[in-house]
Amino acid sequence: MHQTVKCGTVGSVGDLGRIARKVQQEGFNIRAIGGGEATLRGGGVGVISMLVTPDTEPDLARLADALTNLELDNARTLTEVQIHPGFDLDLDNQPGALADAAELIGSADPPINIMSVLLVDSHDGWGVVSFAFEDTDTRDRARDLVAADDRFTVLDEHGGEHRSDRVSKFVDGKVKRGDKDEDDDDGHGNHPA
Amino acid sequence: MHQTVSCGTTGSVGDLGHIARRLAEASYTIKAVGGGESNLRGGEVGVISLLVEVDVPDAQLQNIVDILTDLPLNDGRKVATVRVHPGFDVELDDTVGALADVAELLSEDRGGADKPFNIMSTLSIDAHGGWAIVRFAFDDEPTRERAASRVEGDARFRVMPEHGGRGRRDRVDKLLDGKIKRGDVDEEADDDHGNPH
Repeated sequence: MHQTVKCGTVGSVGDLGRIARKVQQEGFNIRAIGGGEATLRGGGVGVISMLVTPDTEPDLARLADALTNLELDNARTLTEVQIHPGFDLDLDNQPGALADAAELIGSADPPINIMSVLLVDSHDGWGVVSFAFEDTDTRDRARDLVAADDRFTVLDEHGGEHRSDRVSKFVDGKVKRGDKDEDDDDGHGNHPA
Repeated sequence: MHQTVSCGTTGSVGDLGHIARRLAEASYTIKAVGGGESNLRGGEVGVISLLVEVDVPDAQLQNIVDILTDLPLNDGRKVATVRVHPGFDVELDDTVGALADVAELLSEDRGGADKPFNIMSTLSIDAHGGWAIVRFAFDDEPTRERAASRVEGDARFRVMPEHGGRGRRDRVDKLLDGKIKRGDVDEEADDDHGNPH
């Protein structure tokens, strides 16, 4: 099952750190994360989506409970914690590919609302993007829609994990943390002195 | 300048498609995206963070803000808020807790003028071979500079000089060139994982 953990807050400073620490304390690894704060409906709000491992239903139910009970500052808690079923799409890494997929899903009848979107990986002309939905029925309708379209490939594994792991095999030991890039003469990609 | 485009909507079906299509029509490439919808303050809201193009000049960023601000959504709505947040990319160990470490560092209250930073946007960009690149964005440039300085002062983290960790990503692309293509079937996989349907 591909699932996305989504947290909504009436935002404040430090929420991301508390959420990420709780996820770690509960034994989960964050594979992808995205979101932000905005001023909407008269005040600040924050929405964060995460792909985590492990991601079995009991694991994610436990994580949702832990995040729901997480104490933020000023006696606040997260306003909403939801687990959304989803799938991962392999897209061409070019302008319009995300629009094509999102428009196709949005054109369904009855309409399908995308509850979360996350870039998982993108290299060498392809990108893996995770979409999540309100419930499994909606997810299945959306997946059937894109799977029937030749422009898209639905990946079987959560977070495009196998694809990502294959990239890591090639990268392993060749591009390391802190590497200097000897091809660069302008410091791009290098750690500042 | 490393910047993140943030869109907030009082959510409805199809908004992501409208936003992504408008950017594509203007020939902008979305390099990273993340966000979602939630029920907050009495109704549905959506927040999407986008890393668009790579180090586009400020004039182009203003164009992105303009075209998204003017973008008609369904039911006569528009994107409620479009903002460009200055940020930086941090290289982390791809280990459990690394994101929490840097987010907590940024939220430390060190007293006086050295206050906690409000992270306006977070986006994971790339993660392979034991490292990960995460974009953090802030309310304004002075805040970004102070936040970057705090992170640079901690030996656990590296602030990447290039937008979206482009140099690092390009190196991975060079390494992969021709080795892993879209739609590849992995002959080592015995359970179709990662393979197309």
